[in-house]
Amino acid sequence: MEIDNLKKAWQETIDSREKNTEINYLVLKKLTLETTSSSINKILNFQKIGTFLALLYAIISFALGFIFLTTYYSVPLFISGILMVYCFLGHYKNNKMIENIDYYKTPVKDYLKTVLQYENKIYEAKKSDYIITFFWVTAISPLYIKYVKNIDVFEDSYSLLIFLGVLIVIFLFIAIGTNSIYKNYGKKFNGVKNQLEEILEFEKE
Amino acid sequence: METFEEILNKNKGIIFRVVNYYCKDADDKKDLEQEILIQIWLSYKKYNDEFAWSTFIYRIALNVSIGFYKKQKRRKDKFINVNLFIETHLQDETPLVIDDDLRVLNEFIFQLNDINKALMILYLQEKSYAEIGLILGISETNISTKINRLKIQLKEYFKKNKNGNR
Repeated sequence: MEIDNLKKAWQETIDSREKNTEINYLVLKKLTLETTSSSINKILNFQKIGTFLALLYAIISFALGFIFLTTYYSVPLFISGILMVYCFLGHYKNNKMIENIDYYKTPVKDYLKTVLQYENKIYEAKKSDYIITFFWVTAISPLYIKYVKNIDVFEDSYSLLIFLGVLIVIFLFIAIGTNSIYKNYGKKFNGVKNQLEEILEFEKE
Repeated sequence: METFEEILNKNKGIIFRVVNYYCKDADDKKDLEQEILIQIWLSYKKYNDEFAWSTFIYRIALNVSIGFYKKQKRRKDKFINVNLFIETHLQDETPLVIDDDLRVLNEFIFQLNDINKALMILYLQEKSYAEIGLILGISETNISTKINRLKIQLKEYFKKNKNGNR
């Protein structure tokens, strides 16, 4: 078995097979009109929704803060508004990082590294997202309860206790929801991690 | 600048090769080729002639195949379930290689891990070490060493499979 002969035979066979292949232009046309929905873009789209919500929550917080400027509700609303802006900017920056990945200009190894850097950024933001969301809920819900249910949670210790109890439940739900989302991300990123490790090992061997 | 269809037509062999070596299942092949196509389409307008189209189509195809695609479950709701490539003279099920040496070579490529598989395809395609380096992001020296190892492995594989099993 001569490798050069084998190489030639391989090329000829592949080339002849390729010559007998035509592109299905109808499918191509339909495909190029579709927006991509690869796994990485699914994560990105989900992150974009989160980014948009952070901005929306910030606007709501500031708007309500100004409406109730003279009351004790306004301070936590402004703080949560500022935190949401921080959250929005962080996510926006992370999203840009992955949006700028260029399949065309990026070698395989660098592509995998960028995807994993994005993963790290997402995980770094997990804790702060969780705390900020919880703070936002804590800041906005007393106002909601007061104006929709007509109960001032700060009026007496019983109402405050009930409110804190409800907050703990909300806190748990947010925690469960956040963990399940990030667990799902983890599964998607594991494949990339394994591939990068494989390349790095491959270079070391 | 050439049209997308023209570029694709000239380089369809790259997608064809990568898809055939990275997927065995017909549905997975359809899915992978469509994913590659979309990424090529998204990159098409950013092209500058610093490098050959083939280099970047290999890059895109391998990025999609190695990087993210394979580890996911097939997305049944996605895209059209029709082949992008139409076989005009051969039946779909025609084996990729008929000759016995090529059959063994084909088996050898299939059992390699993703990175070695990419290296082997690029080597068989007679891409220079520099170009393989550009595609995979690995140094030329490293590529040279790996390819030499792959050649030795291939020779051993041939010895085993030509004399032993057959």
